[in-house]
Amino acid sequence: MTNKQGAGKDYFILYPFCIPVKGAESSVVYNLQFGQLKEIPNSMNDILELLKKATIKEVKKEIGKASVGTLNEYLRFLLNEGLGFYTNEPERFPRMAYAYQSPEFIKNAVIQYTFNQYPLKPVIAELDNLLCKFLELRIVTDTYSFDALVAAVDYTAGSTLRAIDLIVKNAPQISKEQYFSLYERNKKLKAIVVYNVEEDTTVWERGEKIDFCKEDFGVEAFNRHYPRDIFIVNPDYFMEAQQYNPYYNKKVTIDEHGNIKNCLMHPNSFGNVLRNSIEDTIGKPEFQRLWYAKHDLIEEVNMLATRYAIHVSNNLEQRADGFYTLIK
Amino acid sequence: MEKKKFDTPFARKLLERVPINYRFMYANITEHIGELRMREKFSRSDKHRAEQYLNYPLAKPVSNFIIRKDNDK
Repeated sequence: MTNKQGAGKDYFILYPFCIPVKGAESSVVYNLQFGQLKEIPNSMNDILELLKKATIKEVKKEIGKASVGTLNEYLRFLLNEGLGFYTNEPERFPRMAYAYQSPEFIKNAVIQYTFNQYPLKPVIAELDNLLCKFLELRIVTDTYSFDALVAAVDYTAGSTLRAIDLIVKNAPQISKEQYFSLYERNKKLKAIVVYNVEEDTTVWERGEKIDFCKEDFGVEAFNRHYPRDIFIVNPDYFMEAQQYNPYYNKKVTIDEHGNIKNCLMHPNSFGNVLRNSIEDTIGKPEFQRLWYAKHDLIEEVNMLATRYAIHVSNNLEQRADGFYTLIK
Repeated sequence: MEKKKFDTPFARKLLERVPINYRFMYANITEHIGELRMREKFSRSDKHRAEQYLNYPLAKPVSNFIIRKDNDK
């Protein structure tokens, strides 16, 4: 018997929220409930595959006497890490359905805005019709008045948006207090970041926080790829990544000239808000092409065990065989 | 063994009078706790005819943009 907890129990299974994923060099167990990744050797992943269908006794018989010690060690490790448990009734713990559905036509949008190239109000109204839930609004000019900023943010009141990140270039004529008053005014605002200021500071006032950053994000940060060493581990992201590209799926971005794109870093656009409706543009198959470029289809990514936890913001090129390659 | 230091939100005199478990409660900065990052629980949605429309953050980054503190770089 492997240990006391396993006494009288025939099976060892992982918790349904712990999902092993095999990579080229090693495997990873995604603990979707606790948002953690645990690296394991591929041989442990193979054992877990066997344990899905067979009892511990049967698996021991299959792998041979020489490997029983390793199996016991693996089981002890999985038990100690809280990833699995012994049971006699594995059928009572079915695996999670690998399904992802969301009702929105557009889930998240990124808008770069300068107040004078196109009107924001109809854009927000269109996003509202598309049931858009999350918005990153980037104000990339410093020649705006506080009233204009308030009006821009007010367009979102009563919309279907659930959270807004406001990233604004510092306008010398606007005080910190005014930014806080904007925060209090709009309940959908999740974060305000003011960039291109003299000093990096985080200012708290009455429980609200605004980040002031020295860096001019417009120079480099807006065009920097999302770092690969940050992992996103949650059921929503994992399930979406099984079927779609989580970076591009149901996303629309509008640059400062009103061009409608998959990503602001891309050179190609599919229309312009001054001439085309967002709804028509996002309905085009060529616009939606990258939505389906799931990580399993991307060369350089599909061999990684962490492929359902990374955010790949690179542009992609489709090959004749249906796979994609990263454009760096 | 190094003793773990807790940043307790309670006064020392109070801690002497309350059960020992209170000594293991510690204060943490709100921005480090994901669930508390949303400042307002509800907003409004005209389409849903809801005055208590639940706010919550997206389960993934909205864009490629991220602010990293210097020591994280």
